[in-house]
Order: sequence, then C-alpha cells, then structure tokens
Amino acid sequence: MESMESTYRSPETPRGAGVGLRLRSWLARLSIRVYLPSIAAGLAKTMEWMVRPKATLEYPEVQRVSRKGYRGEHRLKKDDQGRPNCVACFMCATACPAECIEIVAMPAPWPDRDKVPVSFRIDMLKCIYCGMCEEACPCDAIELTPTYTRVATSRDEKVYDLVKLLSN
Amino acid sequence: MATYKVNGKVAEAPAGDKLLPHLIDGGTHVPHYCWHRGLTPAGNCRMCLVKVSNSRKLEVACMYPVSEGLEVTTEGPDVDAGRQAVLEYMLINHPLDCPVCDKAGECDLQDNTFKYRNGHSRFDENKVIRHTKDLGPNVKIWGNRCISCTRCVRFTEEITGTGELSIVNRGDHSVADVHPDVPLDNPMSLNVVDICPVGALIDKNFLYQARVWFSKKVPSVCTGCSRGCNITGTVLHNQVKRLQPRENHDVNGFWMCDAGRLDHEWLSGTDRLRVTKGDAGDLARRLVAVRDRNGAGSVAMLISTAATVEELHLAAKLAQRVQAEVYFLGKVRGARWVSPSGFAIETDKTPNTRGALRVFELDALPPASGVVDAIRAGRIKAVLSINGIHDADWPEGLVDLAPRLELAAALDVCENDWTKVCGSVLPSAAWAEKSGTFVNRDGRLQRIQPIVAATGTAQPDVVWLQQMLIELGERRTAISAEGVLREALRGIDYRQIGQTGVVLDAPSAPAGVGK
Repeated sequence: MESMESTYRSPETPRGAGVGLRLRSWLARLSIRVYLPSIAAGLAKTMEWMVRPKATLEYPEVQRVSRKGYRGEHRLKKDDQGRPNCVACFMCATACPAECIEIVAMPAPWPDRDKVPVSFRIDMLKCIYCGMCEEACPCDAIELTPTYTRVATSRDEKVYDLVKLLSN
Repeated sequence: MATYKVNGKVAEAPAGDKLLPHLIDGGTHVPHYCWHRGLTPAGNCRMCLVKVSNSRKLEVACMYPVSEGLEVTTEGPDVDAGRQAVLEYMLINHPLDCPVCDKAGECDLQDNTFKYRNGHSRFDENKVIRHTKDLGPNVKIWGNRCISCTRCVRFTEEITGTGELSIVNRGDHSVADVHPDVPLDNPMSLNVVDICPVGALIDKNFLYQARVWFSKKVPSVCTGCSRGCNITGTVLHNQVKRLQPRENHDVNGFWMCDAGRLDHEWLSGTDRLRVTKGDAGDLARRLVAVRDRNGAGSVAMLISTAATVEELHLAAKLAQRVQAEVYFLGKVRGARWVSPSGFAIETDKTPNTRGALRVFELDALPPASGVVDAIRAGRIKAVLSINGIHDADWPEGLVDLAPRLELAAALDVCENDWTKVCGSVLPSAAWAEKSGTFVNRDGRLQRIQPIVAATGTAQPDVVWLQQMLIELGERRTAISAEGVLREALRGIDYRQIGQTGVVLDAPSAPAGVGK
C-alpha cells in the first residue's frame, strides 16, 4: 500500500504560490482523484497492443521456427554414401540419463568400420531431450533436430526405429 | 624366506621368487600386461616397473627376484614417469577405437591409460596397420590392437601344447598370428580371449553382443561335464551372453574348455519348454493310481544326472513314496581330453553323476536303457522323466513304447521327442535359472545360483517335486533349495560351500551313465 500511495501522491502546492498556480495545482490533484491519467495510460497501452505485431501463431497453418540449438526430436545422420554414421558404440546409450536408447549391433558389411547398428530405437516418451547423446557421440551420428511437433495415436509410434531416425 | 620392504612395509617371500605375484598378493597395485599367474613370466611389456634398492634404474617386478633386505617402491613420481613412458610407446600404434572395441570396459590398457596418461599423444605420424582376420572357428584378431605381450602365444605353448600362435614380423609390425594352414582350433582356444589384456583377440560368439558395463557378472559352475569348472556368467537383458572361467585351483585353475563356454546358447533357444501341460499335484495322484492298479515297481523314474543334489534328494523321496524303479539318464560324449598342463575335459557330460551315486547310495547307476527293457517286459506302466539338459542320451525305443504306458510324464527343460508324447509336461528351470549344488567327479560339492530368470511357467524342479510331495502328504510346505540341501546332506549349507565349494568325500572318479 505504501508504494501505491507514493505513486498516486498529489502534487504539493508550492509554498507562497499565486492564485493561478494554486488553481492549476488543485486541478492536477482533482484529475488524479478521478483517475484520468491512468485511464489515458491504459487506453494508450491498448492502442499500442492493437498495432503491435501478434505473438500468437495461427497453428498449425503457421508453425514456429525454433531457435538455433533447440533440442527436439533426434535424427541419425548419414554419410555421403547414404550409410548411417553410427558405429553402434553405445556411448549415447551410456550417457543417456533416461535410458531410452536401445541399440543392437552387428559386424559392419563395409571395410571402413567394424560395427554398425542393426537396430536403433529411441523411446521418445522416455526421452528428456537433454542432448547428452549428441554430446557423447564420437562419430557425429546422432543429433537433436528443431522438430517438436510430432504427434502419435499410440505409444508404439513414439518408439522411433533406425529407419525413422535416419529419415527424420 | 627373505624379508624385504614394499613401500616401507615389511613383507616376506621365498628368496629368488619373482616380485610381482607377491606384490599383488600383498594388495599393492602394479599394472601389468604380459604377466599372468597361470603362465611363465616373459617380461616383455615393461609395464610393471618398480623402483628397487639394488638397482639404479627401474626394474620389471615380474622378472626381478626377491632378496633379503630388498626395498621396493611401487609408487611415486619416478615410477609413474616410467610407466607413463611405457604406455606412451604402447599407444603409438594402438588405435583409440575403444568405442567400438568389445574389450572396452574390462581392458587393462584402457584402465591404465585412464590412470596414468593425460589423454594426449605426441605421435604425429601414421599408425602401423596390421591384419584383422579369423584365427580359428571361435577367435578373431584385431592386429592393430595387439601389444605383443605374448600371453596368447605362451598359452598355446604351455597350457594346450598346440602352439598355433606366435608373434610374426619385427619391431612395430610385430603381431600375434597363426601359422599358415594351422587355425587356432583346440578345445581350449577361447581362453586366449580372456587372457588378452587388450581387445586384440575377440570371441566371435560374443562379438558385439553386449557392452560389458551394462551387463552383470554372476558366479556359477559349468554344467558341461563332470569336472564342474567354476565360471562367471555375463548377463544382459535376462540372457546369458558369455561364460568365462573363474579362478579355482582345486578344479579348473584359470581355464575352461570351449564346449563348456558355449553351453549357454540353448538356454534362450526356441525349443525351451515354457508352458505347463498338466499339473504337478494331478501328476502325483496319477502316479500313485498307476502304482495302486499295478503294484509296486510299476512306476519308473528316469532321472538325469544333470539334476542337482536337491532335486535328486526330492526325487528319491518321490520314488520311495510311489515305489518307483529308478533309472538314470546320462550324457557321454567323445573321448577324454587332457592338455599337457593337466587340464582335463571329461566324457561324462553331466555335472552330477557323483551326486546321484551319493544321494541314491548306489555303487553304479542303472542306465536309462533298463527302463526300455522293463516296459517291453510289461513291468513298467508309468514313466516320469526328470531332465535338466537339452541333449541327454535318451534310450532308443522309449518314445515308440509310450503307447504301452498308462502314464508318460516329463519334467524337462527343452522340447524333445519324449516330451512330445508325454501327457503331462512340467517345464523346468535350466541350470542358469535355479539354485542348487553339484558334486563334481572329484567329490567337490559346488553351488550354482540363478543368473537369469526362467521364462514362461518354468519352475525349478525343486518346486515341482515339492508340489508333488505335498500332494502325496509327504511334506506339508515347500522349502527353499538350501533347506532341501540341509536335509539331504546333514550339516552343509550354501554359506559353507561358498564360491569355491567343499570336498565331500575322497576322489575316485565314477564313469558317466552309458546308454
């Protein structure tokens, strides 16, 4: 209440003022009593918001562009020959605090690496989108994309497999 | 005995003995690669450097003899500097592919590098590339990772006596390899994978099956033959992924055979029984009914020598109750194989033949073929089989004679021709899924414990048999396997058996049960 009083304190009449000054001072006090400046300020704010650009998006017709570094759904990267970068080292699964990554490995069919994933599943419902998998990856194979809008009609759909993650 | 000092503390050891085993036994950490307690020391990895009062330079503890008044320092800046330098040399050509290396997580080189090095390499040139190839049916080598410690070479020379491996090429190109046209194919070949201090030699059966830090290691006993090697099972997602030998100098030393090591694959096979057909109590009543109709001795029990002492004890109680004739189902394969170092692989491929002799107080076990003859003679009207292994020596003709029986029932782990003709089949837990004890061929009582959970409605035979005994009024409540053991062998419990077992009686090895 104290702060309120200090905000709405009436202007003091200067000491030894003339009649004109006293009158103006009295009018100023009256205008505050009947909230005229506040009403004007409020109306001004309303007008300002009427002409400002809108924050609300017409979702889903208009979709928000995530800022750089936003941690959304994962994807697995491919090299220039279209093969997954992943070597199934399980570093992401080891770093994952939610234990949502499940990998099955097999010997690689290509000479340039030892190991490839035969299955790579991420349970998106368990994932906490912390990005630790991305940091742990020694092959720059897993990445969190800005995609945040995926919906599903069943829990199984939210367990992403290798094909889904590679096409994400 | 010589008195010497380790880091200022007085210790004693026979003069002339190598330092390293005594340092390790005394609880001092000394990193090492080429030295292995089961092999002759080679002194080539230079990692076990220590400071000794008799020498101005650092000495390798695996080759330096203990002497009176010797002062040994195993830590400090100069020792650490020496070990760091050795590690730096090893890492010149060792690839940093730990993320895809199966040894990562249990690799001595990885652990010591983490401990002694700062992660920086001064080597800017190209690393030497060496071969990656199959050495034999079970072992593959990643030559780049080899640090030429020669443990594997000494193993094939000293333990198996087969000498398939040697270090080929010179200098930084040296790498372990087999001789041309002589693959690493001996009954103990997979031990080289365990003793390899780095990820150079890899078990092809375990390759990329599990990252070891996710898995659980549980001690148990191998059921592959009557020797009963002590083992450690590596378990991931309720599946046995690998079996490794566990040190026990009274049984298997440091080693185990390949056949025993790969004996876990059937545990998660598709032919495992998972669904109960019939009911234990009902089965017990029907056995009694057959006995009542046809008189004593009309029921036969066919018991596997792979059953635990506890199961045999309960089976004996059941046999007494239904006045059953007891026959034994064995598994005898191949010829006895003894390595030059004295490690033997037995022909009796069941773990508890001796336990069966003891529990049933017999001098020789009646073989399973007896039951076939008895059915043919019209004496036997019901057969209950109790089996714990997937490929026992089933007697010929048993399946064909099933129509002559009033009752055919099985407690079994896997589906086979016999269980297909049985009216009641109770799925049993296999050795990795139950508690129990085996008496090995030398009379040593050793313990197995559940390392994975049984699937479906499978239960340990101890549970099934007790349900049957309760139905017959022989028992009031079911007790644990340990309780049954206390009952079977008075005064012995699991705590007493511990991890390495206890000797029950004098060694005089019985032969396995024949067909």
